[in-house]
Amino acid sequence: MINLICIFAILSSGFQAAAQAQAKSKTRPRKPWMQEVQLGYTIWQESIALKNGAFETKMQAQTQGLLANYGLSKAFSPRWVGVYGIDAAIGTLKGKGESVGIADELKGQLWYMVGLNLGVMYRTSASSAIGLHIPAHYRMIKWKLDAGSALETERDASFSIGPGLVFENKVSDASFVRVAVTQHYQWEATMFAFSWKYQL
Amino acid sequence: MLFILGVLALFNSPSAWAYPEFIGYKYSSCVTCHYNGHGNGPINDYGRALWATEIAGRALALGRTPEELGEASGFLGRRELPWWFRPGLKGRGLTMRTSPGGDSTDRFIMMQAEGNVALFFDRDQRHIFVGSFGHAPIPNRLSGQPGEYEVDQWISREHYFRWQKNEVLWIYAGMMDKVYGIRTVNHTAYSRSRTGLAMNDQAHGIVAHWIQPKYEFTVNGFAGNLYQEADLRQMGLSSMWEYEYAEAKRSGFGNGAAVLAELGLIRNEPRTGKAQLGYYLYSEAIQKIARGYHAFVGLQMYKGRMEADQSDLFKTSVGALMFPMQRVEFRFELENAKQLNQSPSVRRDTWVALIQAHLSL
Repeated sequence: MINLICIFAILSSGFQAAAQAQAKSKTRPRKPWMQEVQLGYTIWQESIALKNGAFETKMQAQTQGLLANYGLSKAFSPRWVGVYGIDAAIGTLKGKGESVGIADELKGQLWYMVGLNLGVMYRTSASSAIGLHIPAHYRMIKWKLDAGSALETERDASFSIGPGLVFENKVSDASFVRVAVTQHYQWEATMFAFSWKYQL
Repeated sequence: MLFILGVLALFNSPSAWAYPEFIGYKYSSCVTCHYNGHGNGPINDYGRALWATEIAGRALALGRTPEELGEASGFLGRRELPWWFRPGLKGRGLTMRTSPGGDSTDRFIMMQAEGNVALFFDRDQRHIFVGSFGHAPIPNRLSGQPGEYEVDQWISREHYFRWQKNEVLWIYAGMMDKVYGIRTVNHTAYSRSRTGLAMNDQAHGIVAHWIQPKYEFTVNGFAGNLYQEADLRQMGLSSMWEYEYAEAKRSGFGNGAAVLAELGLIRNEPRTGKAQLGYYLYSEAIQKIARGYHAFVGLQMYKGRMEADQSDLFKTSVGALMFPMQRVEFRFELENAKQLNQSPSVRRDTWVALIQAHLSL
């Protein structure tokens, strides 16, 4: 009987420990997913091929636009945060053919862009973070050429991916200034993005 | 005639400390660490100790305690100097390369090599003299024109008397930096280079500086650099008012993180021709990665004439600011420049890599 009681006590303590651990894990606050939105300005320059009949040349193009992002972030340690987001951007592009044969001037060419953005941020303090991200962007340029023009333009629809550095400083409880510098591989362009981030 | 108007915002607290970027450390007045109440120039004993104990990295501290580091932060280390005498030596060199990765070569500039001294006429330091003398390189734009310009390479960038009249009023007289805007160390920033505030643009003048717990107000009358010929002197008046709203806004800041911004208008009225109205923007965000090591990003814009056919100059930079130990600073910066304009022609991105070493004994 005493043995049984002891065994029961041991089992009971084991069950209690397991139950306590389970209760702890249930009551422990889980790190929640945070939603965030960004709105900002983006600019980059790239070289786009032009063709007109037998002539071919490059055009140094400057792209500017508005960039928006919706993201979900989750801390996986006190310092490290994973970020998963979608980008959408719209803007205009301009440039001029670099050869005498094709000296066409293109201004106000509308483009749209969507993309996925994965990143990891390191919290350097309660009010700042630095990180890396890899955006993958798909862009469509709605080339608007003069009627009857034989000019052929590259990158009507194109995809590019590349790594970038992200820098965030907090300016109020939920607002951050954010700068991202990304080296896009396929477009061979350094994309700068300056945005305001708000945590929902 | 040059008229400049700036609005600056130093998120976290109102005034600069050591570098304005370090406003994130929550020191609210430059005069805490500098003899000059608006920053720049030699730092005082408290500033030296603070650099050693709070700012500099610990890896080279050789296990010394903050107290020991503070005690050894003087010009001669632990050895005490006479109470009335505080000397200093400063050297700052820059290596730069345009189009890094391309065919360009490095260029080295010894930007600063000077000695400085602070002399106190009373133990409370109510009456002091601060001066510096050293080598200043000839600016690049003048170096290729021998004979046309007489540029002295040995100059004093500052020498002034400071009188602390009472607990709130400080008066300065002599040659010193003009009181205007954020005194960023980057003298090529548009906010300094286009406003007559570059590295050798100090002027003789008088400064009255009121320091209250919540605000600071300064008036600076200046007669130009009296060592220059009369027609080169920049004469004028500047004033600056700073208000500390930080106590209410401070929650999200600190730990070495700060955001700085300055937006200004420049009205330049040449002796001949029309007056021109332009603008500039200087902004920077900085954060401490580890003790003594900081990362920063910057965005600058400038337009000399606000007219449609003129380009907006657009500069972005990323970099690191490092203080591995007291007296030593390294700065690395990668700068990208573009032009925004109406023309369809697009100039290629311009890149410059800069590495700067600063020794302050």
